[in-house]
Amino acid sequence: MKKILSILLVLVLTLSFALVSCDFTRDNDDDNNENENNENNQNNTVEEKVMTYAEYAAAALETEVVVEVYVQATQGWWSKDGQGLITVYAADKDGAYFIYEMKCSEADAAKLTPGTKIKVKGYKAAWSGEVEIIDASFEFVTGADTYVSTPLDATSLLGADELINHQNKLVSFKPLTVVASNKKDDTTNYAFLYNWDGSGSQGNDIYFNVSDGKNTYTFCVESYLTGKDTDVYKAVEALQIGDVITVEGFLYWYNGAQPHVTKVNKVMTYAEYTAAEIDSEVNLFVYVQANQSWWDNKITLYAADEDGAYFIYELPCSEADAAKLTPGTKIFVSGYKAEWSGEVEIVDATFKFAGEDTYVATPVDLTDKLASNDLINYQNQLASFNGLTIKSISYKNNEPGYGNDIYVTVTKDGVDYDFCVEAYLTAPGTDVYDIFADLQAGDVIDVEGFVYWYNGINTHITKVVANG
Amino acid sequence: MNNRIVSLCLIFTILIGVLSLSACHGSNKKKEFELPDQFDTETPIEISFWAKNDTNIDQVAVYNKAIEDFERAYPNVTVNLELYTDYGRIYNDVITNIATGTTPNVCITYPDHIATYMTGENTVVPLDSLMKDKKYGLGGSEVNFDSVKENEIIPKFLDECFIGGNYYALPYLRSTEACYINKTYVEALGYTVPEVLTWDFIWEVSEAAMAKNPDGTYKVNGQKTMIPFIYKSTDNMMIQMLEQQDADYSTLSGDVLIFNDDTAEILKTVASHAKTRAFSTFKISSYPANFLNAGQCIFAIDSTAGATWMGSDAPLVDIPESQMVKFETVVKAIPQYDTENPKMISQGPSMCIFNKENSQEVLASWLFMQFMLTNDVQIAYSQTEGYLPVTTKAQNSAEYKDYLAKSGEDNDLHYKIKIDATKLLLDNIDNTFVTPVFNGSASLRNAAGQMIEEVAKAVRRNKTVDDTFIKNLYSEMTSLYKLNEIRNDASSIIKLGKMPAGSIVLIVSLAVIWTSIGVYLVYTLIKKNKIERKS
Repeated sequence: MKKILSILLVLVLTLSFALVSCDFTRDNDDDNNENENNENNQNNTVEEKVMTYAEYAAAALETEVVVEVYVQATQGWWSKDGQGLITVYAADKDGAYFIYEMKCSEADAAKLTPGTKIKVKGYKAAWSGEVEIIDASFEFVTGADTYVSTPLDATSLLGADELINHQNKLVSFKPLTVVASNKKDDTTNYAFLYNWDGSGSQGNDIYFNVSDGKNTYTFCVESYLTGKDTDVYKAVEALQIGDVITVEGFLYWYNGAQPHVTKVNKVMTYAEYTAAEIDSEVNLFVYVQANQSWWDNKITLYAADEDGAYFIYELPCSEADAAKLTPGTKIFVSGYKAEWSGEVEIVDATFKFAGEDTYVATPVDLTDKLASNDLINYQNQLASFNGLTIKSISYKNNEPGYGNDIYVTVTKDGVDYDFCVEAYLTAPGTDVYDIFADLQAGDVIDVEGFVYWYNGINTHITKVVANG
Repeated sequence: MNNRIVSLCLIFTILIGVLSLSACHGSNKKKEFELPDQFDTETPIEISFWAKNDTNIDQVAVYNKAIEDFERAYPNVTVNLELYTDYGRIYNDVITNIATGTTPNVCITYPDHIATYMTGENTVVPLDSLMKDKKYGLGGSEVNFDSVKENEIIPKFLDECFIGGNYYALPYLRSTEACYINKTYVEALGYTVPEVLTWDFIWEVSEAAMAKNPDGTYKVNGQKTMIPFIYKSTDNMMIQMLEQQDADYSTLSGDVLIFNDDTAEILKTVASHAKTRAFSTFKISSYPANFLNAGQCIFAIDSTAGATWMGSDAPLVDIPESQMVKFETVVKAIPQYDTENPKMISQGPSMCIFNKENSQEVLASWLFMQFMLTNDVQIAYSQTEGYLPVTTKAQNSAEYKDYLAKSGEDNDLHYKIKIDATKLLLDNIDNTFVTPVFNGSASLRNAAGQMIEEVAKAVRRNKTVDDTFIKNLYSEMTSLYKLNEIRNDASSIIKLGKMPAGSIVLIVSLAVIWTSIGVYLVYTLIKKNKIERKS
């Protein structure tokens, strides 16, 4: 009897513990179900007509709007009175949207990655000039495509009435110069301030002033969008007055344009350019030295500044602008550093004319460096090489024909070097092309050209003088 | 016999185990703060101070100077300042850090928020014994600076820090709300600004200001934008409108009474003027000061601590210079229902200290908090905006009186509108009030403001605000802010909810076991008696 009773009691206790465990499990399951239900509720399809961007733009303030948009970026998710909220920068192919404090669970917030398509229902409103969607809820558009906008270069629109038409879009401004910001009762010039008046500290929003040469504008690093650990926050903290920069960001509005900056790059010196890694973005002021022939709205440039030289490959350019890219012209170039068969170049670039001053490089005599490892440091520069003996001359691909590139193998001090008369640079009819057409093996020549690289030096010859 | 001993041992072992495990749960309490006999002035002590400023560099400078001066008085103490520009963010961060045991040492906060912090046991340090301590208390003999005495703190402001039977905070500075008026436009509309504003007056002038020219511009300003009446803090708006009518809001102990007919009437009034666009709010439109200074608003109600932004000559401006409009600004108390019995909110920062394992750290925090009440800090901070020092010692000082007397001498330190706003509170201390503080009072305050925002937005969106709308709104607010979960007693302990089924099973099981043991013992006794009788 005693044994039975003891066993019974132990069993009762064991059972109760088991039930407790089960109960916790069930409680947790209940929580999960509740979350699922919430998500399901959120996922109930809204049947309202989806507006196009044009319809949204035309809609009156305070009206209900339903749009399908692609997330471009989000500010930090947070919970207010138990309601999860997230502010979204969004766009479609026609325009952009700012969705302020949209209802969103923390789990869903993690899914709002750039490009994600969502259907948003809310009210159109304006706050200090910023047109936004407020009191919004959303659902994911399942199976949809993705879209991430490319920045619109809005530099020329700064200060213009038209700029507001691009509100909330991802825009770029290049180049701009950092100008001083000041604190009250403080004569120090600052490159940036934490908070608008400098009352903040690291982690707060950063405000900095930039000039396009005509007016000064205030840009903002919104800490809820790009906090202190982000590249852009650190980049702005590193700015100095006078730095020339390119800026990318969302065209937010606060009593005027006040972009929320997402990317800042300094305009580089030649030394910074050479130190930059391949595939990194580069922004430079350069002077055109020569160009290959324009075609298909592209132009390839040989460029330089007083410190070094550049090769800018297939730069998008109108025919009219191409005609203006005369030697010495100063341009601002923004692109990516690349390397192709040893040639370091700038690709996928854009440019704009950058002022009146000019610079044309004089050739540097590199004859003595021909066999040197140091030669590559002169890549793309205009150089001269003297006393070269022609070993062979052929047209491109050994296909005889006036008009093709001319390949020249020259010998100096017993070593052969391949040079080139690049027909797009020095076309048939130019002195250099026509002289080479008449030269033969054994002739001794002095040449000038750009130190192009193709698996080794492959100078693009621009001038030749036959010695005797 | 052996079997019985084994059985009982087994049962007791299990029971003791279960009870021990149960006892473990929730035993990780923070020890109550005990004031050390002596403050350690040798060992380095580091304390953190989370401070709010109005995005105002002058205020940051005051904090930095205060820290510097305090560290001079106590060289072994280092104060690390963390700046916030939003009370709500401090509140959120404190709540998060309570859970991880990483609260700041000293924190600028609202009493409403402290009530929530207090749900963690011994989290916030009660100040009663500290305040009265002869050595380190207010005016204490061993305090290394000119400490303010308890009777030098404005009693009304100190009382605001009395929460659930103890002082859990000290007031830092005080402000109220003011109505900043474009007097030029009021008069252009044919009205005269009365000595005491009434709600009727504001609504009437605001509606009159909506008259337009044939070209769509407003007659009063010739611009395409005019929002005659903008309220910055709609929670204050609702709270003050209720208080002025002696209408219900909440009880002292936390009963929520706001969902009543008076509130409904206020909401309907607000809706009627929001519908014509004569009224708007900060959340809907933007900062009242921006519209006021652009000549696009006539009545801007904002904190007296926002006075430096108000008016044509405001030292702080947030709109392009080209948009500024010249007009005469006057500062008045918020509109009233009963002009003979004006009522206005008392607001502004208070300070609390958080409990720590090291009592010396807590004492250092207390000393620093006291330091913030010294004249240098009080006067300097009050001058940054329309704040009022919370001590008579500062208010009555020659330096402060001189500051007030120089009103209008310049548009910076002595900016007239700012000093007028300060004087407004100084003259109306007895007319100020605060709402009851309890765990959940911050949510109730949010709900009060949100209702105004919701009706204003609704009518702007062509929805009808009627009894049904308001009834539904009450329900939504109750749910959103969990107002039906506020426990209505002064202790403000978080409601634990229904006991989990598992706990019920365990308790029932224990009851069954004890009953079984009892039955068994009775059974064995009876059996034993029977055997003895037989023998």
